[in-house]
Amino acid sequence: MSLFNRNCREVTRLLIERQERRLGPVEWIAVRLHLGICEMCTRFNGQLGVMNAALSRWKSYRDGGDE
Amino acid sequence: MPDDFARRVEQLQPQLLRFARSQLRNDAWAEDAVSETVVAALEKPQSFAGQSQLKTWLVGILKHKVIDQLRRHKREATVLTDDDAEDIDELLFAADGHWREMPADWGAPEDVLRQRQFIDVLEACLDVLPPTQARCFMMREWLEFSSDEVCKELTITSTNLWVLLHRARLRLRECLQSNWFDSRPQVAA
Repeated sequence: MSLFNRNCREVTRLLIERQERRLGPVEWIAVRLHLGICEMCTRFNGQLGVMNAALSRWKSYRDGGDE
Repeated sequence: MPDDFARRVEQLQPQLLRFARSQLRNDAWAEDAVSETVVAALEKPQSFAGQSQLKTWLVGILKHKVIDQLRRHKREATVLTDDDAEDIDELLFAADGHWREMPADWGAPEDVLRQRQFIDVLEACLDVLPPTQARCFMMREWLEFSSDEVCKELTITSTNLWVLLHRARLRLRECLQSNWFDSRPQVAA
């Protein structure tokens, strides 16, 4: 069962790495289980979402004009 | 007409230089990339059909020149400074792997995107990333290379790349937290 039991530091790493590679099924389940019970990592995941949205806006300003 | 074209290209040069610097983090390489961009643009103005904005077209050329510079200088471009090597995780997590501090609630993406200044703060935060982290991060986010492509271009392993990107994203987060979220009221005035 400890296969699915990851701490915040590990889950944070996986949440970031998910943007670089496809997580394995065990990793993915571990992340989902952890997010279900951890408000801190859920918030961190929300911050990643804000950063990604902002980066894509930033890129379109940079490439498109409107500066 | 051609003079006007040259003048408009010239006017955009400072902006191109800023973009090149932010990706390359080396003034000489950035200046080379911009000069090559300007030369290429002035040599074939006919390929700018006016179908897009001039800036968009120039940035497209610049991206290719910037990639050439990264290839040419890849050894130097992947050296880690002390800042690049700093393990941010130690600051964020206790020994048992728990967060030292509760991450703040940043709200929904739409809320920050409504504020143009947020993007300016983001850009300022990108500019203060350690150089090698910044190069890798910008290759992903600006040049839109895949992880594998970044590894191939810079000849680094994916494990090394992931560590650099991990640190870059955490630093960016810290910078946005202290320069945006901590420094303004929850409800925008």
